[in-house]
Amino acid sequence: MKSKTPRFLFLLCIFLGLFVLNISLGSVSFSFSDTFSAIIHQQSDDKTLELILFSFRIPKTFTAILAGASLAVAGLLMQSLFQNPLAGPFVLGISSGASLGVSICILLSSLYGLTAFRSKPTLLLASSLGSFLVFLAILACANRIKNNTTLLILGLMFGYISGGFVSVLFYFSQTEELNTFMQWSYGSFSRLTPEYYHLFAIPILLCLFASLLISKYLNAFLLGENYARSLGVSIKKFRLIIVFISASLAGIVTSFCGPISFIGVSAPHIARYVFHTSNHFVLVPASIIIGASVAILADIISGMPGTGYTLPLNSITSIIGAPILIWVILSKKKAL
Amino acid sequence: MSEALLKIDALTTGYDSTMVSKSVSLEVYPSELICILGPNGAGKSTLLKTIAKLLEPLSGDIHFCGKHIDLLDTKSLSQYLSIVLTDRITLEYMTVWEFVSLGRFPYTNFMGTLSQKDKDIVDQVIDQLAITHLQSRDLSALSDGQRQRVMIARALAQNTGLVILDEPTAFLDLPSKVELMALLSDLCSTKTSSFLVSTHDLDLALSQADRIWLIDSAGDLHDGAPEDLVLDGIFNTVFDSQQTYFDQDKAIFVNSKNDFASIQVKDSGLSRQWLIKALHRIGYKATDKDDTKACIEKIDSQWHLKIDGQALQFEKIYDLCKYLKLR
Repeated sequence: MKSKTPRFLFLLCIFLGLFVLNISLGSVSFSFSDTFSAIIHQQSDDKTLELILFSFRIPKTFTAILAGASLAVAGLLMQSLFQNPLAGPFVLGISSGASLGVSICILLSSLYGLTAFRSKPTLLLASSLGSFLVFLAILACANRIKNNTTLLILGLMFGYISGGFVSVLFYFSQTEELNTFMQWSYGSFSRLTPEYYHLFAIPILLCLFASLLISKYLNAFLLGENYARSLGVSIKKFRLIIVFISASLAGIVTSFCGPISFIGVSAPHIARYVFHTSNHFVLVPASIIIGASVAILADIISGMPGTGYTLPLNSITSIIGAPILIWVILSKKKAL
Repeated sequence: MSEALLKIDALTTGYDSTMVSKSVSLEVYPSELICILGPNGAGKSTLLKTIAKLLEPLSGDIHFCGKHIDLLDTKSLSQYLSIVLTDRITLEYMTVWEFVSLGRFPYTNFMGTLSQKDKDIVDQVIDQLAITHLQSRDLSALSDGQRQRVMIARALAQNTGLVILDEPTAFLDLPSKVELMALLSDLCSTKTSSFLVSTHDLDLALSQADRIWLIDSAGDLHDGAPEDLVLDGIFNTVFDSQQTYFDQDKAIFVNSKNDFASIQVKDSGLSRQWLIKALHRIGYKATDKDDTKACIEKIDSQWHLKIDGQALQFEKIYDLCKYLKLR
């Protein structure tokens, strides 16, 4: 068996490279040397650089790192639980719940003329509430059902319900409100303000750590429920734990950054492809690094360096995520 | 006598409230190869899954080495019983060695670290099943026969007294089936584990199993050495139909045709034996009695047929049979 260390180092280099790129590039670009010295000395002669760097770009990049890592791990957990390569962090309906919350909130603001309902904190509350309610519903189901597929179907149904409400919203709303919803659904890493940072980062770090701790059990789940049980895994308990961690990660990210597609589905595939393993002790950390890197890359591209425009993050994750996945799948077929 | 690995008491199995097999009481001792036979839908898998605690019994008790199944949590149970199911595992990026080492799961710490002893056991099992040449191959790049061996290796690595295999010979070609059964029989004699195998391959079960559990369509289970069951005529009652019956002499299933025409065969040895077999297939019964109307004789590697006053010669049994059939 080949050592995994060189590949991890390689990924870390890419990750660090992207990190530096992301804080150097943007509507105003800085030279790498200026950026470096500013980071190392925690200050800079150039006050604009200092301001942009420390109060905007670095927090945004850390948000991207945590969000990307969370979505990747949440996707990995779902793929392993359902033994389905197409599963992702949102198969349980978490993002649908968040959209539902946001759309109801905007609809209310439109019906009763409450513009306060369209402020950032309210939308954050609405999307958190929406994903949390779906989260509770899923946990309640996960505890009762016998078959994993039922969970998938429930997730799909939540999606339809929220889709229906969003259509109602579209029907009643003015352009302005639609715009608010569309803006939310594009996703962004720059919404998170410092006062909420601990609410975002601490639970995510705990969940990521917990995923590492249950790697042994995730490996058993790869064999399917019956085999996992025959190896001594308590299926009900671990299904609940896996769903809890995955839904928490997806819910937190969606609440603070909006529904960010594709990173969660593609990053675990890239991790498997790079390391040629199904072992979660490798896949969990690998997905964390790859998910974070892909999120930063998407953030760089959506920032359209040098142009002053910003593209919707969600379209970028799909546009770069899908080709990566296609490439991984096709090159795998060739290898077989 | 040593303690029973498995003791079943008045066990009734089924789904929800639909009973599948009823009131079974049995004991399994070390080093037994037990084949579970029965028509489709008789409840072979249901019984196995109930024993493996994948299904709840409708009533009755199961004990592993004297401990009641309800008192064993999944973790403890995994040290008494391992399984090989028909569920197809679709795994990529996992080598055979890694897969077999998952059998050590109940014995490793939360990091899944394999001790030297664990590694030795995995190597030993891989060696025993003669899959050493496959050990670094990816699981998805195996033939069905190889895959089945790997599945069994994983179960053996779990080091349990009882190994349950649900139709391990399904999907295998005939030589692989024979090989697999012989392997299980070998493992039984070298290990103290017992194997509980459901199968549709009756002839293999009859020749290799130490013991057969035959479940009939009413859900009753008949237990005994294969020979006991043959002598008791159980196979006839369970499997006989209008088209086939179980030949107790040869222990095979044969077509039941009752309107056999008789024909005299003047020949001896191997060619006689195979000619009779061919005649039987097309509805003729061979006799030694002089028969002037119908008679076959082998002269100078030609089959001479006299029938209804006609005399014909054939080079091959095929031509002879074709003529008799079309007559």
